[in-house]
Amino acid sequence: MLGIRTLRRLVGSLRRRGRERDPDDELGFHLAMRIERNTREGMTPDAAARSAHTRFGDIEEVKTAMRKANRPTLKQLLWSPTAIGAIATLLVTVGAGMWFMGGPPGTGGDHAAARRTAEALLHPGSAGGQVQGAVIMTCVVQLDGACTDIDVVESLDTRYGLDNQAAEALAKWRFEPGARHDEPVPVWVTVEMIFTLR
Amino acid sequence: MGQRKRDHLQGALDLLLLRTLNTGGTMHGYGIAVRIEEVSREALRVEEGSLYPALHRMERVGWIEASWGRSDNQRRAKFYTITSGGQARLAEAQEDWTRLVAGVTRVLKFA
Repeated sequence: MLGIRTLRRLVGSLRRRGRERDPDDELGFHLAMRIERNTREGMTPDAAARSAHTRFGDIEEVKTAMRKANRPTLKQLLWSPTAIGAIATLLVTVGAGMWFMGGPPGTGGDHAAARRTAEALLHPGSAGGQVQGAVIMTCVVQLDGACTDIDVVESLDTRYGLDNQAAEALAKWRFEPGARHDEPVPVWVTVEMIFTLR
Repeated sequence: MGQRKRDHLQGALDLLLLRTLNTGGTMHGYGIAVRIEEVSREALRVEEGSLYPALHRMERVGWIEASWGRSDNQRRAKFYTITSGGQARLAEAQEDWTRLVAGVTRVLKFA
């Protein structure tokens, strides 16, 4: 017999699949309509399909832009009552071989893993000793505590790769999953990683 | 492309989409694109790569609402409707556009 947790995961997974299918269906409808129109105007079925796809361009690129457009802005996140779940701050102090890291509030006791991740990814001097400040990211904390859909909303540094390193570190964090009315739900969170030179 | 130019293009696209939905009622993305092409006598062509991200962005900020339904030919399609917030935004955007066009016209005439 399926346990309640398994059932919830199954329902969550089906919902996620539904959301992922929507852009395909929407764009598929558009292409089908364009092909029909091309055919009505006298093109052969092959030519009609080719013309519609050429006109549309890169479907994956459009889907990526749609996903990005669907993400809430930082302002919306901060003011949204459903997104209060966890606003985590990770402090990383970069010095001559010295590290300090405060774990994100609400994490499931996996600070050690987070610390190891950061040590592996963030090397003192990797930013040429030039960069300090904050990278602000958003992500969705899934029911298993993993972060998905990570997006850098305020960049600190692309030259030395601190943005990428921060996102890679965040991908390895594990959160306490969010809940609404005692039901576990995926939640949007903002995460600020602060890099300080010492 | 500079940020300001992107903003102007995005503003113009928002204006076209909101206006089309305001007069056309509930429409799917393809219908909106075709309507803009036809009304502009094919002077304007909305690229699909801009159209759908714009619709999703406007849905997120509450200017339009979306729901799934069946098209005339019984295909599953996503339909959009303008909201009262979208109508308020449309009024502002139309004023901005009119001011911009008037300014450019004056420069072309008198500068």
